[in-house]
Amino acid sequence: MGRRSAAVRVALVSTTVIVAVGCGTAEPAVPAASAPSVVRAPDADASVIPDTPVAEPLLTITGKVAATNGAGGLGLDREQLDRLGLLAISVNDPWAKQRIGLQGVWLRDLVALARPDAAATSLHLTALDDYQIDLSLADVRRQPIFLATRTGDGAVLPVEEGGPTRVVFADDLALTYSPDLWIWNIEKIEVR
Amino acid sequence: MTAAASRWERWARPRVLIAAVVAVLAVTVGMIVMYSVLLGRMSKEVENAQARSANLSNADREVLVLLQTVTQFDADSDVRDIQVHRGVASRQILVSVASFDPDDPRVRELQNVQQHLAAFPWNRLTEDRAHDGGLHHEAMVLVAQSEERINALRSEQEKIFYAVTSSSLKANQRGQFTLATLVTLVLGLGIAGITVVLRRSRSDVERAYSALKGEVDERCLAEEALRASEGRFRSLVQRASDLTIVTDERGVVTYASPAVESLVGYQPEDFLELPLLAHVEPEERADVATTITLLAERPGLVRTVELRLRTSDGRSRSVEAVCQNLLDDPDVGGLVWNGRDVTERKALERELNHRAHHDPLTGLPNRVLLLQRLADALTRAGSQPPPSLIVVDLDGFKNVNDTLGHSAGDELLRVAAQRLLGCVREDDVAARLGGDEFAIMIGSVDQDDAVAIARRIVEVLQDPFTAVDHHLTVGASVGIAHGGRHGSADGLLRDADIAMYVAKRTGKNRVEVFEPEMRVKASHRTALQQELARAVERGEIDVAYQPVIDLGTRRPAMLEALARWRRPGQPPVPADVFIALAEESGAINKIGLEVLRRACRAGERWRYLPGYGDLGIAVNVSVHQIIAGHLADHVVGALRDTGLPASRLALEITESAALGDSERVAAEFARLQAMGVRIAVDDFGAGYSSLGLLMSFAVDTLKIDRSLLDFDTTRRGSLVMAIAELGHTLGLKVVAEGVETPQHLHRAREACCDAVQGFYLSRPLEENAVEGFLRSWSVARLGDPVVQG
Repeated sequence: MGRRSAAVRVALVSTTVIVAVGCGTAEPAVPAASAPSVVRAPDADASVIPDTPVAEPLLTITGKVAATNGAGGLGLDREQLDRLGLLAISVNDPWAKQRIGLQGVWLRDLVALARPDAAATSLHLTALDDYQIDLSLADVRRQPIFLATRTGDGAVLPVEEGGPTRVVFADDLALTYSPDLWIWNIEKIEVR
Repeated sequence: MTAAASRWERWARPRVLIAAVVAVLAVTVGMIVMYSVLLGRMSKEVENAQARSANLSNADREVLVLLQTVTQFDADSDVRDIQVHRGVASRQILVSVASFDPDDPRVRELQNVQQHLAAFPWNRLTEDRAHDGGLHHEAMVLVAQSEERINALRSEQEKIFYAVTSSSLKANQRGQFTLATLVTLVLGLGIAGITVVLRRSRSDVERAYSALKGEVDERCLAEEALRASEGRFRSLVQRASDLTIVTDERGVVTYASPAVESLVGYQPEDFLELPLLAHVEPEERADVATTITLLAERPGLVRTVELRLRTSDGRSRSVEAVCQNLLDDPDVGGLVWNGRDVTERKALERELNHRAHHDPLTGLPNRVLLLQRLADALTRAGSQPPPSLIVVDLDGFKNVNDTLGHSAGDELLRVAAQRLLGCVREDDVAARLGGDEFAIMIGSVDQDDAVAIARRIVEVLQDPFTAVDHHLTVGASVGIAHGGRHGSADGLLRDADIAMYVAKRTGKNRVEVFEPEMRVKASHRTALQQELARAVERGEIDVAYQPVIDLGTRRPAMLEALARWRRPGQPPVPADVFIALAEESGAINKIGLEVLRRACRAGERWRYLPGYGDLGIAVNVSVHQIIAGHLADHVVGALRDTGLPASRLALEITESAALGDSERVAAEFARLQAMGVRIAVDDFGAGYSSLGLLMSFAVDTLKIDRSLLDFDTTRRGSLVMAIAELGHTLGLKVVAEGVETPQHLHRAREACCDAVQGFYLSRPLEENAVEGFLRSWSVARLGDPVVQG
């Protein structure tokens, strides 16, 4: 049930390359990418979040993690996600072909909260439509990979725009990561 | 003027060429650049078209998922499911929109679809379900329409994608063609330039060359003269690997080339002053001596001979030599032998010859060699009696192959071949014709002795074999044909074969001597088999039914189905004859299946006659059908198609050595019995009557062979009694067959048989006569005084 076929994947990577190289000057007239700004600072006791059981989790982290709050993993609802702090980021969406603003956290901070085992090497992300991808844990820790939980205005991220959560990549990574890794509608992350 | 003109020619012509090359090169480079830009644009277009097509089909799929969710939605469902799938679908539509140019009309269409989906009051769906469901219906219609619209876009886009791809491929081909043309042009011009330059430089060296050439020519002439003066002798021995020997007219060696050493291990000096014959193998000396005499008489004569030379270590090498009388040649003055070592080739020829004439499995001669020897013996037979030919066919070999595997079969053939060799004399030829058929040519003995040898062969092949840990007993059918004054090898083999088949048909483990009328019968038989095959195709095989009467209830309990061959306009062929024919040709499988189907169908019909709900149907099954391995499948199919209950079907099997103790056959029976099909042993007491089948397969019924009811030859009926008692002891039903007289019936009763069958009660009936028979059945037919009351 992959969202895009392998052939399209290849075609799109090359399309992106051509667009990126050929249209460097024809950037859309939206604000240029800048370093994320802090909208809400993390709560001082954000580290104790995992102990609280959750009624309706927005996102569940399972697999090789030490921090759990029942239900086979770590379930986080909106309030808990917000308490991790909110950053505002602007990225160039290769699928919608426009610059978009989003709020959320660095994926690395979210993963650190779940305290992965030393043996864990990757994240397996599953979307509502059963689209799945893998990201290497080393990449997540080193690169500016972002998990958006709210729109740029701070509103709840609707399913139409990739909610409940979606992964986006900072502009520097446009050439390194295939658009196929831009997974949206995420509700499950398994640490492997 | 002339000088200036030639200067111009010398310098200008290459320059024009260079300029042309440069110009064409420039055009080529320009074309390559243009072409790559074009290709880049094309491949981008293809990629875009592909991406759009993929995005649209993703959107279409998500809307379909949404449609499914909406359709399955009911009062208990959570509206959240719909929200999620609507969101996912909407997201995919958005992605599709982004893959088009903003002013593309399809963008408007997609956005329109999206707006309609967004405008729908999804939240009211739950309450509406509780009321009249009208909104739910509307939702389904809306999503279905959306899906249709997206699907239309998708299929349109798919067509565009294929069109773009194919035009891109065409542009690609055109570009490649243009480039290839230009590159060819460049190459052509380049070659032309090089030619011009070369020609120019050649004129410079021409004078120097002509001076040199005169000198070289002179030298060549001198060399040629020298070579000529060294004479023909050198050329005769130039090939070092070939052997050259020169002898005088008596055959005494005067020269031997160094190759002698590598060929036979002697030094050339060892040959000198000795007759060549001393080195030739003794049996070839006479021939070589004749060649020497012949050659020495005729100057210039050339002969080719094959001879074997003795080597220093006592072996021999084959040499093919061309010898020529050059006694008159002043350079040679002798007989020249130019030889080539052909030992390996000879060995290879022998090997190939052996392979072509022998069977690799047993090492025996094959059919080809046998026929050659036979032909030789037949032509040579003058004063001696002509040869006899024995053909041996192993009985039951196919079963060994089928049930124990080919390695067991191969082992058995090898042992059989050894035993055959033990029965024949050195001059006889034992050959394997193929499969399990062997032939032995017995030369110059009288016919009775040949028959005695054949009898011994039958005996030795009856001894048990051990192959792959199994003890096996096979038999052999043997035919003999005696050669005549004018017979051919082929004809003799065919006659022996016919005799063998007669032996096989008349009981196996037998020897039959060929008689001319056998040939007539055999061809009649072949014709009849072909006719039978056609009859089976045309459905001319009928089924007749013979009632079996239960002596307890005094009513027909069963009908035995019997195959009949109806030949339009010709006398019927007796059942046993045509069944034997069918078994030989393999047609029995088709016939058996046909009879099974028809009998099941008819039996199911008759069960609805009043009082015949328990009527059974018995169908004869040939050993061939069981070994073929489809019997149980066929029975399952017939029962399923006709509706006859398995418990109403009995299969009748004649005891046969072929059934052996094969596990596969046992499994086949077990499967049939598990279904409830009954198994009857037919013709018990005739032929192979062993208790093996009764014991190894759980048989239900024993049918006593008709011959046992005969009063005089079966110890006044005591055998019937003994067998019936045996059957009852084993818990089997016992049926007496062949009840043709009141005495037979009486005897069957005395023996306490459970049921009887025979002409006295009823002949086999046509299918359409059965119903009348069953309806009008009266116990009076049993001629039974007890029943009158």
